[in-house]
Amino acid sequence: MPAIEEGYHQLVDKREGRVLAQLTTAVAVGAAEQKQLAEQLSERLHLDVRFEAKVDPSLLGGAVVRVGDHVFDASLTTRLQQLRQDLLTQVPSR
Amino acid sequence: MPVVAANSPLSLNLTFPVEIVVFLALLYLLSRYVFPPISNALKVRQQQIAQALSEAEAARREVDEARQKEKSGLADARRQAQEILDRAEKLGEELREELRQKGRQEQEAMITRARAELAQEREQAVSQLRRQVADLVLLATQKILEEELDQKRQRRLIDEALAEVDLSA
Repeated sequence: MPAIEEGYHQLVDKREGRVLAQLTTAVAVGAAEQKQLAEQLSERLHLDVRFEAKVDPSLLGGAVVRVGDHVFDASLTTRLQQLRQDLLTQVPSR
Repeated sequence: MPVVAANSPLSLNLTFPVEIVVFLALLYLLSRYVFPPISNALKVRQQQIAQALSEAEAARREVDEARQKEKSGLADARRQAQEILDRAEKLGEELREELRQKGRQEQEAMITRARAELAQEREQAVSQLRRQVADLVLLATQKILEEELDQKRQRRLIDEALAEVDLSA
């Protein structure tokens, strides 16, 4: 059922020239802030945006933004993993 | 002229010519029938002796030659035996040298392998240590972030995340 619902929304969005933007954050964002963020995103993308907010404490901070098939991961968890990788691959000076 | 007595052996009478004739006849008979066979026999004997001497000489020469051959044969055999001994000694020395060389090579190979293993173990230890340090840094950073990130900072991070959104790429 959720998949059918999702499919339906996508069809409606396409017909009305809208795009779905999902924002996943580490902490909950209030309704007013959500509206502000949606407007910010619409302005940035020059598109009409249907906004969805999700919470994932494992992100620690920052956010993961998904717009259509594009995913932008600016979460702190990912940055920390990148830091770890950099530490592992760094060649130590003798 | 001295006077000779009638009964002396030196006195001349009729028996003397007879004696001479007999002597001469004897001589003739001897020279005709006795001396030649004796002479021939002596010649034959001489020839036989000469031949025997010659054969003996030939036999002696043969014996000498045989001895000489035997001597040179022995010398040859000794020389060959010495050559075989020399070759065997040389082979033995070569084999010893080869074994020494192999031993050295194996030793060097062992040392090289040991060094490589040591280097690999060191590399693994360093790698493990690096991973542990990275994990510790990560854990410490997470702890600090969890304590230090307030709502204001969270909002700023969200704004930064939104600023990265770009559909044109």
